[in-house]
Amino acid sequence: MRTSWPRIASFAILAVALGYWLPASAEDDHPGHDQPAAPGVPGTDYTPVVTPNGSTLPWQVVDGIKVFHLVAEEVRHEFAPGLIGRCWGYNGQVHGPTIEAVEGDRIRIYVTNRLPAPTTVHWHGLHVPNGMDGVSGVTQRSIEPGETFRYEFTLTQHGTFMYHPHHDEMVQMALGMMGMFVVHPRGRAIPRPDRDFVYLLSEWKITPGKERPDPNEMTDFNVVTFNGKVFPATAPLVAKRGDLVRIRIGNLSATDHHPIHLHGHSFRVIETDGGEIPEAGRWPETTVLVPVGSTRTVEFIAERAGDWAFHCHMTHHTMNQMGHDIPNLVGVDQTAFDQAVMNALAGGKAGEGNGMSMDMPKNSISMLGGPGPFGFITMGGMFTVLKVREDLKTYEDPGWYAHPDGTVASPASDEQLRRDGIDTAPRPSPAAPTPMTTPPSAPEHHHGGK
Amino acid sequence: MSRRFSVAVTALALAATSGCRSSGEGLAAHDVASVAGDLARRTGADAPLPAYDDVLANARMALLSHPLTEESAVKLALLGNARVRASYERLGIARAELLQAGLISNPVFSASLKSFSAGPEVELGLAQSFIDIFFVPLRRQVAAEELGAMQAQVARDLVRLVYDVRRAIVRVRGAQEVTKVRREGLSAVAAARELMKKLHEAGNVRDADLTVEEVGAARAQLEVDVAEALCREARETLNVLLGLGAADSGWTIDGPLPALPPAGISGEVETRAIATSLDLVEQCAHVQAALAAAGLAQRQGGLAHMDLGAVGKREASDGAWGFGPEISTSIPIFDTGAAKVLAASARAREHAARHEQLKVEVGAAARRFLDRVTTLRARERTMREIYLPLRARLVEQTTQSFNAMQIGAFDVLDAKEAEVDARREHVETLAAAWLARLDLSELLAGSLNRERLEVFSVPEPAERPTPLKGH
Repeated sequence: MRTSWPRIASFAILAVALGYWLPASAEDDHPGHDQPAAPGVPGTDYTPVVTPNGSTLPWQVVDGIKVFHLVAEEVRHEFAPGLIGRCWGYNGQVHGPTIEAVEGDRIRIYVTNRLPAPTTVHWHGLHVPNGMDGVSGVTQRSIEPGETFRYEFTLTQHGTFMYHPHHDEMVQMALGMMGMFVVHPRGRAIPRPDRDFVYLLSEWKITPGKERPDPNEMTDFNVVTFNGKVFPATAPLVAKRGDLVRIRIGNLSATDHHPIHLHGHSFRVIETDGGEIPEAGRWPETTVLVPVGSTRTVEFIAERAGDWAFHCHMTHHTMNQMGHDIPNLVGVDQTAFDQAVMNALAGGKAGEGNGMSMDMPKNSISMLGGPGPFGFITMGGMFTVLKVREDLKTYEDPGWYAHPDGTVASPASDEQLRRDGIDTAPRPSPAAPTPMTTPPSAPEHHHGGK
Repeated sequence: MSRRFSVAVTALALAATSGCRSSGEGLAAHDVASVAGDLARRTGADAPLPAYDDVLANARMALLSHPLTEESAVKLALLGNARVRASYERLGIARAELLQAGLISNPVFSASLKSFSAGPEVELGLAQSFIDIFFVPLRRQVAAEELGAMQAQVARDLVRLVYDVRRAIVRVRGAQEVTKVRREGLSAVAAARELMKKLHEAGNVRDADLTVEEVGAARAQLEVDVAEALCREARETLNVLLGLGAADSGWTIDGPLPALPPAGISGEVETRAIATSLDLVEQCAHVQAALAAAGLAQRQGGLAHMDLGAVGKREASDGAWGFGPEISTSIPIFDTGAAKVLAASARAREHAARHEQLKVEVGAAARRFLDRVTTLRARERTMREIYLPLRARLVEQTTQSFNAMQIGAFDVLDAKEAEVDARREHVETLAAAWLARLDLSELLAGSLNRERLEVFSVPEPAERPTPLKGH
C-alpha cells in the first residue's frame, strides 16, 4: 500500500494539533495529569516585570512545581504620606504581590486566610480546572478564617491576568484584595521588552478623617490608585531612550473604567486578558481604555527623552479625596469668601482671624498632587510620570528632566507678541444677554406636573 | 362721705410721699432693728433700714454710679423699695395692737338731766369696766403672739425680696448673655446669607438656595429681637424690685453669669428648712395666739360685760343728792360663751393643722429644690465640661472638612450656628441652676416661695448635631 505524502502530512498536522490540545483538555477534567514544562527561570525564560510601588510574589520549586503562598490579611496601607487605610490585602501589602510565572509552569498556590471573614481566590482570565476557579459556592466552599487552601494548575496561556476574591466581592475588593498575575510566553518569538511594567487600577472611598475604606460606596470614589498609590506617592516609570517598554494594566475598580493616557508617545495595545491581539489588529493609540475586570497591555519604544505624564484621563480620577458636595465657587472671590467664613467663625469680629483653623482632618492628603520642577502639580490620584533619559546607569528615579535650552514654554515677550501680531488687550465684555421671555402661548413648567 | 374719704386718702398719700414718718417706726424701732438683724443673718446681705428723701437719693446715686452687683442691688432694694417700708409699717401696727391690748378701757362718765314740775333731776355716774382688768394679760398674750407672727411674716417678706432681687440679677445677666450669643448666631447666619448672595450673583446657585439663607437670617433676627425683649423685661422686673423709676433705670450690670460655686448645697436641707422656716414660725405664732384667744374665751365665758362705778343723783322733789355704788353685768343665761370657746378652740386647732401641713410642705419643698439644684448643677456641669467642648470640637472638625473641601462653607456655618445655640442652652441652664440654687437658699433662709415651686423648666435643648456631610 502506498502512502501518499499529503495524507501523511494531514495526519501529522492532526497529531500535532491533538498533541497541543489534548493535554489541556485532559487537565481541565483531571488535574495533575497534564504535562507541565520545566519551571521557567527569570532572566533566562523571561524578563521579570516591574510592579511600581509593589513587589513580585516569591516562589520555590518543589518537585518541579512552582509553589507560592498567599496570605490574605488585614493591612495598614499608606496610599500616600498622610493617608493610611485599614485595608485587606495579601502578604502584608495592598495590593497583593504580582504573581509571575511562565506558560507551561505547573504552579501550586497556598492561600491562607487570616481575615476575620471567609474568602476565596479567583484567577481572573486564567484557564484553570473548574474546581480551581475560586468562585465561592459555585466551584468550592469558601476558605474560612484560619484555613489554608491549595490551588494547583498548569499555566496554559501567556498574558496579563489578575487575581481577586470571589467571595463577598463587593467588600473584599473594596478593601484592596486583588493582585496581578503575569504569565510570560515560553519559547515564543515575541520580542522581550526592556522594561515590563505592571499596573493594577482600583478605586476607594476614604473620607478625610476616616481610615477604613467604605465598601458601601458605589459611585462616589475619592481615592483612585495606580498599584494602590496616589500621586505624589506613585513611583515613576523609568526607561532609557530606545527601550522597548511594555505596560500591563489591569482594572479591578468597583465601577469605573479608566482611560489611561501617555504623553509624548503613541503605543499599541498588544493583548488583553483574553489573549494577544494579532498584529493586524493593533493600531496606534495614546489612550487605552481599561474596562472594569479587564487587562490591557501596551507597548512602545521610549523615543523621546523627558518627563511624560501617564495618567487616567477621567479628570476626577486625578484628584485626591475630592469632596463632591460643595458649592461651586467659580466666579467668586474665594479669598474674600474664605475671609467672610473666618470672620463668622470668629463670632463676627472681622480681622480676628482666629475663628478658623486651617488644619486638615487627620488621615487626609492634599486634593492636588505635589511639588514639581515648575510649581505645584495639580494632579493627584492616578498620575505618574514616564521618565525617559538618554543615559541611565540604573533604572532608579533619575529626578526631574533637565530640559535643553529653549525647549520649555515661557512667557511671551512684548517684542515677540508685536513681531507675530498678537494682540493681548482685553476685549470688550459681551453684551448682557437679553432676558428670556416666555411666549404667551408656552405652557409654564413647574415641578409637580402642573 | 366718699368725698371726705378720698380727701383723707389723698392727704395720707401726700404725707407719705412728702416724707411723713410712720408712727410705727418709733414705736416698733426695736422690732424693725430685730427683723433687719434677722434678715442679715438669714440672707448674708447687708440689710440697711429704709431711707428717705435726700438720704435715699444720695444712696441711690452712689450705688447706681457703678455697674450693679448682687450686693449693691440688694442694698438698693432694701433702701428704696416701698414694699420694705410697708412691711416695717406692719410691725408698727402689730406693736400698736399689742400696746392696745395692754390697756384697760377708759372709765365712763354719765350724766342725765330730767325736768319735772318740781324741779330738775340730775343723775351723774362714773363706771369702769372691770372685766378688762381681769383679761388684759390674756389679751396681751394674744397680741404678743400676733406680733411675733407679724415679725416672722415681715422677715419672710424681706427675705423673699432679697432673693427676688438676686434672681432678677441672674435673669438680667442671663438675658444679656443670651442676647449676646443670639447676636453671634445672627452674625454666622448673616454671613451665610451674604456668601450665598455672592454665589447667586456668580450664577452658581438657585434663587431658592438664596431664599433658604434669607429665611435663616430672618429667623435669627427674630430670635435676637426676642432675646432683646426678654432682656428689657428682666431689667424692668429689677427696676420694680429696686424701686427705681425711669430716671434711674439706666443702670448696667457687667459680666456674664458667674460659675456656680464649687460646692453644692448639702446637708440635711429638709431639717434645716424646717428649723429655719419663718412661715412655720409665723404659723406657730398664729397657733399660740389662737390658743391664747381660746383661753381668753374660756375665761370670759358668757361674762361679756361687768362695770363697777358710782352714781350720784339729785332728786327732783327735794333737791337732795344721793350717792352710791353701781354695778352692771351681763348674766350668762342664754349666751354662756360656749360658742365663742368652741370657735376659738377650733381656730387654734385649725392653725395647728395648718402648721402641721406647712411643715410637710416645707420639707417637700426642700427636697424638690434640692433635686432641682442637683439636677441642674449636674446638667450645667455636663454641658460645660463635655457638651460644649464637643460642640466646639465639632466646629473645628467641620472646619477641617471644609479646609479639605469635603463640605461647603454653609455646612461650617451651620455647625457654628449649632455651637452658638448650644452655648445659648448652656447660658440658660446656668441661669436655671443659679435660680434653683437661690430658690433653695431662700427656703433655707426661711421663706417658702410657692410661686417658685411651680416654676421649673429645663432650657430648650439645642439642635442635635447632624452628621457631617461628605461620608
